[in-house]
Amino acid sequence: MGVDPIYDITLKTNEFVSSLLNQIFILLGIPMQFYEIAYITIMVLLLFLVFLLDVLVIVWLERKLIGRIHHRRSVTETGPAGFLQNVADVIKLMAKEDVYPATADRFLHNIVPALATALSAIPLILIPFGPGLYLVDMNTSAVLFFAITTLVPGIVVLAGWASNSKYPTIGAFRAGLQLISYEIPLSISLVAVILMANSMNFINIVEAQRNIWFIVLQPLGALVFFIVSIMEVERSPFDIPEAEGEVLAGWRIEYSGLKFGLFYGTEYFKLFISAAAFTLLYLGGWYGPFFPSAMYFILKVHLVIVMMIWVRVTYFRPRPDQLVSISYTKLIPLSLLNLFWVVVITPLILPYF
Amino acid sequence: MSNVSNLKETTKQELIRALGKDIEVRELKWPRYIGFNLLDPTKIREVVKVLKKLGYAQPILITGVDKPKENIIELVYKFNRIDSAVISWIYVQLPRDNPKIPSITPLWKAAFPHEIETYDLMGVIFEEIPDLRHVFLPWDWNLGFPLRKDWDPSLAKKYPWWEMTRKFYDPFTIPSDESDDIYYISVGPQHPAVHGSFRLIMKMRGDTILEAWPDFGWVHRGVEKICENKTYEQIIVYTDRLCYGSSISWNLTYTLAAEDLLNIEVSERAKWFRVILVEMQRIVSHLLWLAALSGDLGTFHSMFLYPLREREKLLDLFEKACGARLTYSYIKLGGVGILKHAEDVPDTWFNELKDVIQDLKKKVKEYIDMTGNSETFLIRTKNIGILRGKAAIEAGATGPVLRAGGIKYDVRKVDPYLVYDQIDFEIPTGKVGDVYDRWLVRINEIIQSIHIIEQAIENIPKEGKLYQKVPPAKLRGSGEGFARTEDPRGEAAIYIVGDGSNKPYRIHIRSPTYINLTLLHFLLRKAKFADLAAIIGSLDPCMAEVDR
Repeated sequence: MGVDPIYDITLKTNEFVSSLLNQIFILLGIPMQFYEIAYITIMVLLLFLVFLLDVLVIVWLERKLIGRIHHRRSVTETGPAGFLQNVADVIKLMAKEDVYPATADRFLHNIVPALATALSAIPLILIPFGPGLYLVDMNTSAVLFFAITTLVPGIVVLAGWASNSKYPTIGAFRAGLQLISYEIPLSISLVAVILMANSMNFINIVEAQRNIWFIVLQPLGALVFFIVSIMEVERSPFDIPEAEGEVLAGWRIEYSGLKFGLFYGTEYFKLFISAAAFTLLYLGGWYGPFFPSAMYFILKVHLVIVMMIWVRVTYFRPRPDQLVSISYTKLIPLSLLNLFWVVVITPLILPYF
Repeated sequence: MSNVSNLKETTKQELIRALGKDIEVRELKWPRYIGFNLLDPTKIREVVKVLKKLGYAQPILITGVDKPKENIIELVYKFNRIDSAVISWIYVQLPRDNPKIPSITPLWKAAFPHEIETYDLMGVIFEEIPDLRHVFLPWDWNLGFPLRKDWDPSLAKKYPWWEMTRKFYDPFTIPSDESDDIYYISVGPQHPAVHGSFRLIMKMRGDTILEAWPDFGWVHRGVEKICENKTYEQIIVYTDRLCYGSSISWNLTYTLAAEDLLNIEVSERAKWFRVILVEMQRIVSHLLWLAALSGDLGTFHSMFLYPLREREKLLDLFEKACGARLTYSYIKLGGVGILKHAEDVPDTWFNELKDVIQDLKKKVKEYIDMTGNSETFLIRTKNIGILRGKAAIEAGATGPVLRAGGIKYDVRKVDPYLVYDQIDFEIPTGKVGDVYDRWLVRINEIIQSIHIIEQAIENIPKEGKLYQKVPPAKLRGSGEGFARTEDPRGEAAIYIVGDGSNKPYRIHIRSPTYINLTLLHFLLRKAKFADLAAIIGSLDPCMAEVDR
């Protein structure tokens, strides 16, 4: 595996962390049964740190890309090509006053941003990044992954509720509406993938795409899943719960400063995680030409993100009732058609690949 | 012209037949308009009935002139027609201490915004009007009527402005007997959908708007009152600020009205050049509108930036011509020019304009691909906010909003000013009168404006001065001045009364957006909350012009 730099780096980090931990444990005389917990905690934190850095890259990428599509320059001043603008923004948000409405439920109002961030980052541990590069390997990782992401809109409803004013409440109910719109086609598309891979484990799903990616075998499912992913991360054109021109910022209008920053970060966590899911389910994960590598995975995830950004500036936002009708009259039939295709027709042609 | 004289004759005969001694003909200086003195104010509704039967379309302007010396307030009603340049002017004199007149709103919905405005600022009480309240002034204002001549401006300081926010919901206190699923929500004054600052108070059930009341006056600054204390040349600067989207159109409307009052003639070259400027402004305004609508329908959509990109090029041309990019003050009494440097524009400027327009032609096709040919745009704009045919005329709509409803009415054709009678262009119309049709009309108007500018560049006379200084002695006038033009947003009109001094005695500005925005009360009924932004955006609101 000498050709895979990410694998090498991870391996070296792993060796470094375990030897360091070992020495600390021996030095301080801590019982060895705590070793595993300490080790996992440190690795998760390291993963999260890398992830946060990547979010900064994604935000910068989005700004620059949208700027170029818009025929503007976007950020240019702070750092090389404006790269440090996001850091400056984070510092600005942290320095801001924490404002909350007088009628708000203060406990919920404070706790909800943290909850949302945590919940949207947890699926990260279930993602396998490359061959042999994963934190958790469990039989049902694909199902658990989507079970956790489904909880996030619940937090959004809670966030709108905690603000206790009109626009956030409307935004929160819109988020609920969006949830019932995307969840069914998403699940049906996922079932099709699971059936084709014959496993609920992400690693096995990727292994099943060793020869041919699922986007080729079930393009319809991939299309539905892509649309539904955009709905899930609440990005334009499906940013209905936080539609700027209609309900202002929707459910998050009453959150300012660091709380706003957490929600803003959550949006990009969700973006990354949706793109990662799309890559694992349809784009063959870490498989690419010549050799399997985590490099391919990272590259594909960012390509999917670029696609999502492109969609964001091209289409207009549908109305909430139109969203439900798109979902129930178009996406669900299409995903069912895809399921039929996977169950009945693909088994006949798959042996030839 | 025979059409005009026939119509004038029939109007005269019918009115005298119906009202007998209560009405008399008043001589006006314009051959295409006809004026009457109504001697008995209580008969105004009979006048309106006759005019409506004769096919008059809208009361385009209702305003009052306060005359303390004679102890009267003189009301002026102006009724226009769709098919002809004829306007019937009805003058009514009311006693100053108790100005009361029957409202014509029950007969003609379009009169409502004019009547409440006249009540608000002039203090004329219109009897039996559905909802007589202050529109620009605070709801509980009781410190006199600002447009009256004897009003003391220091009274404004006595009003407790800081208590305004507490009275936020005042006239629409929520009735307790209503069921639980009905709620009230306030959109604005700070809301991206309202394009400036006005407020909508909406009665909602779920996601459906049951009723909406627009509330104006958040940036009202009393331009009409300010103008009474400025000389005729100084006022031009204020007309710029009426609307950031169409400042040169307002320059033109005012200048035409003032030139009408002061009897100033301008050269042919200046007239043609004014046409070029006004049509450039129309394109600029429509591009801004397209950007704003796209911004409403999608978060930071590409179409929010693309029209602004082309708008910049036109603004650069404006800058090269007059030095300003937004508030030009370029059309002056006596021609077109900057006062101290009354120089002509160079020929290269026209060549640059040609290039920009050629480029714009291609770009308009791109816009159509991005919006009108995009399914996501169509589902958001089709069959919402419908206003068409007779209902649109009845409600008082003008400009693209009226034309989207299928009515071919354009002041440039009906009552041509400048040199529009020598120019070939079409009036784009829609069919259904929904938001999509308003988009269609405005996009086609951009194309027509390009066509007009091309003709104007071809035909503009090379000789003649753009600007000829008017001697100060000529800048004093008495009598009346009136001009109406086709503003990008609808029919703009300015009515000036002079008293012989170098300042106007009374000036009234008809804002097309103000009338169009009062239509929201009808357009938003049974609309979805999400359609709010599209419907408001389709009316092209410009709040500086509404709250003038």
